Amino acid sequence: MSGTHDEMDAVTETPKELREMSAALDRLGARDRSSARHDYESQLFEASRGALAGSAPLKLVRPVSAVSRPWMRLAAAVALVAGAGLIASVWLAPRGGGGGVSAPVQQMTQSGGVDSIRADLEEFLSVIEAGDSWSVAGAEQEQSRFWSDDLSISEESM
Amino acid sequence: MGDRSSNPGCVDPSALIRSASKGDESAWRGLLELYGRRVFAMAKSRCRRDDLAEEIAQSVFVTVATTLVQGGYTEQGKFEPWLFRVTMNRVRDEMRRIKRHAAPTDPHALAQSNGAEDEPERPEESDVRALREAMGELSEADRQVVELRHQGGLGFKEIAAILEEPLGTVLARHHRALRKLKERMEQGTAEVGKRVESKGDRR
Repeated sequence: MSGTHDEMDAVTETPKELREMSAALDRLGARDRSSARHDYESQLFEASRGALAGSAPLKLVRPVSAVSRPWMRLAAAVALVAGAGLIASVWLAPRGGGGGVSAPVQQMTQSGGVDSIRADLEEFLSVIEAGDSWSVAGAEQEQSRFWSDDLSISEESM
Repeated sequence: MGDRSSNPGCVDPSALIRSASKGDESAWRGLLELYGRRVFAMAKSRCRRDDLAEEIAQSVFVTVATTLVQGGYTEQGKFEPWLFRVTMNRVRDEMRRIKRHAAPTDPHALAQSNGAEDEPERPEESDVRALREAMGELSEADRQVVELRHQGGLGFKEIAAILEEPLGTVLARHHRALRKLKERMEQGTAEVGKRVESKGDRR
């Protein structure tokens, strides 16, 4: 590319003592322009023709995350709250004989419930008092039955 | 001398711009022929690397093509100022990014880091490097004028339009920059002369 001075150069006469420097800068500029590789324009064309056609991704645009949109955030919050409310209502809903999760507790704390707990406790204590030896004997019986079963199986398999 | 004409091959840029805006590939190719190397030279003057300058130029022309096709370019008759403003901004952004990552972009610095500093240098390269270094010492405002004028090949009127400064200010800056560069180069030559003399004395 060999250009010419524009019309302003005639008006803006470069001072004589600076002309050499101006020429040196011109040479540097020409050198920089010519230092691009010979197929530079073709490569530039290939790189930018997609943008011209409007078909390629034109710029590096950071994709906007759906969560970063305010209305999506609001919708997500509403959905979250609604979901939590639904789970809570199902969990606490009355079941069968009239109560949710807390119903058995309520029943037990009523007078009938207290009596049944007391009866269960007494029965449990009586079993413990009578049964230390019984429980040991039962365990021994279980153990011997286990070993004899095991033996009979291994004999059969042989 | 430099490419001061916005219309070097008697091609009408405004007709090319109009056609390129409609997706005409040959018109777009014509614009790249007109401005591609000038944009490249502007970028290279700062980053001093061919690959990076190419990358910046690509990015600039993709932006320009996009804007043209989408009808975003509305400043009729001011294509050059707009193109070079986009270029300057892109170069500035890239140089900031490089500074943040603190990677040496000066080939001389890279050569030093690779241990190639002892390699003999051609005299021409030394002059060019000295001139580039002297340019690096100019103020940002003065350097912009010098680069737009000599690398970008723009006339002073276009430079004034790009920088949004009065023409007189641009001319004064250019003269001041040339004077500083001349002083710096003379100073450098004197230093080199002294060094050569002192080496000769030692022998």
